[in-house]
Amino acid sequence: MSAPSWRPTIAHVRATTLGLGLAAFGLLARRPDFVVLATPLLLIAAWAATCRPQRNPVVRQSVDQRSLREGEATTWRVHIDDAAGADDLGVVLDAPRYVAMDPVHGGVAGAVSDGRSELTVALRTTRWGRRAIGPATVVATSAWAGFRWQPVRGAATAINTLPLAGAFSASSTPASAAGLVGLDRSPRVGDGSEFAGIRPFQSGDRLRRVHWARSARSGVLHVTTTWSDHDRHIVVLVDASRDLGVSGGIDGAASSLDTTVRAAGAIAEHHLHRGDRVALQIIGARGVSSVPPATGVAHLRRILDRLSTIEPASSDRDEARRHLALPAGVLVVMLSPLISPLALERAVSAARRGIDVAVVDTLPSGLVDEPSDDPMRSIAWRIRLLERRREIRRVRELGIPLVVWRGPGSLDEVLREMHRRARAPRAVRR
Amino acid sequence: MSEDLARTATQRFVDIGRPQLAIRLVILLCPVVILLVTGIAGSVWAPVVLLIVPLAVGSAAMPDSHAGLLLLAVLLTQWGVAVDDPTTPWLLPVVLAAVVMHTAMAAATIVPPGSSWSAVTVRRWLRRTLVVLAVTLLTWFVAFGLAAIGPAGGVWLLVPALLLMVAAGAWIWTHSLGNLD
Repeated sequence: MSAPSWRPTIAHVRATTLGLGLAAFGLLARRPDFVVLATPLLLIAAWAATCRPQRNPVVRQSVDQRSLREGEATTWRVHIDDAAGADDLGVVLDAPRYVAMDPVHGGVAGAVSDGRSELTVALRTTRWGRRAIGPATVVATSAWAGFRWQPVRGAATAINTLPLAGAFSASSTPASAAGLVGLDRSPRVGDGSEFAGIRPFQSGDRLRRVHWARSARSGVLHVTTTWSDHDRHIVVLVDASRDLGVSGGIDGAASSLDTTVRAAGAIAEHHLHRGDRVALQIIGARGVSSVPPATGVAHLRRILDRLSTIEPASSDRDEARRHLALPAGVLVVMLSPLISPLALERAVSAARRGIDVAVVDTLPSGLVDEPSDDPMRSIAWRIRLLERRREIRRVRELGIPLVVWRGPGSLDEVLREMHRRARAPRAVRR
Repeated sequence: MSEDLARTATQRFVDIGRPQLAIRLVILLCPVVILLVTGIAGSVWAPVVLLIVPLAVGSAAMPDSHAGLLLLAVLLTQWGVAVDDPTTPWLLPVVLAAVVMHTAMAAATIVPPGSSWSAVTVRRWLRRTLVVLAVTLLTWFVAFGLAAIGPAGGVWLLVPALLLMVAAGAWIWTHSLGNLD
């Protein structure tokens, strides 16, 4: 494939053809008015031919940030260099769905000065996910739009939009402690930093724990006790097998997968900021693996990155055979629209193994009674909703807490209930 | 289906933006001016209007097409047929409209739909158009003067003018149109 070169435009052909034709006719037919009519067109054609650029410009395209949060904006830049003779530069950028552009149609134009120019298009991503943008179509033109140069389009640039974690907080105490590090106070007394009480000295107590004031007053050696610091291991289990509803992006209505992904990001962010270990497991998604448990801000980024790559799988067949690694003592927060029975089966199976499971319903409320134009489809949807209601009742009867996602405090009641139950004796099927 | 197509066409029309709409209007008005002036200076053969209207609409809708070439050819042929006096002052508005039309069509192709020309570009194009129009006015004065000399003066100028025209055509061909492929 040969390199693109400067080619004459239709405007140049028009000026040359008409100019020469009118001049010839004017001279041969002895019509000076036609010579006058030909003069500007011939002048324009000669001017454009004289200013024809000799070299191909160098075009570079770049985007300021390749990783954004939903609703954030970045800038697409097109630089042209070494464009001596070029007068104008036009750029059109095609953006996929959920990427808003300014200008709206992605077209910008500017003058080339001293052989260089830079044009920008502002981009704003309105939904999480990975999208290919560009490359922009670039066209440079010479004087009088006489010659045009258009480079071969290159490869698209992938922009990763991380989900904007919805507002979330949980103030309740944890259900179980798996380790002795973390920010939360454990329900157990142990080696920590938060004061729990003062008690008489026992064999094995450390000397630095002796409370000398109380010991001197009572004449018996007393020590201070502390609550052990709590390290929670949270597994965020995302059911990505269905995306129900129409997503309007960050500014519009949320689909079930939007709510699921944003809620998962919010829960992970909340717990990671508190020093807990968070793992991510995704079921029903195409080619997305899990994220092992870890702590820290970098881990949050890892989780959000993985969430942004979710695409619903076309079939549940492989999913049914997949084993979920859920160690004992973890708190599993499952986020699902609960349309696929597979997700609830997972929750039931984990609960039967003695694992604390909380299920968060992410089905958009508007979908529950959504009428359909197709009566058969409407009946099928109503039947599925009735089945869903029965499955949810069954899950609740098994003692698995289930709440609808409502943002901050969604899990408080559930966690409190789990904490109460964790302290009570319980039967586990062996 | 037809409603969708109509909506798409309307949307495309709206999407090109106000500056582009304005220049398309200019492209559409120039043939009207040429026709009107031709009618004043001579007469317009009515059936030719049926040919001019679709060509004018086509030129405004697709400035980067050969519709503009055909339209100008038809309009100027009509001028040649209808007007007997080659030194009439009505020639000036016709040549002005022809230049504006060609320039507007060329300028419409340098920016993408929905965007507009930068101030630098507008100034550059206006300056160049004024230069071309000034040279054209000068040419008209020369032609007017030569016509006053009479047919003898015209014959003496014909041969060098023809040679000049052939040389100019050859130069443009070698510098630009030679590699249209």
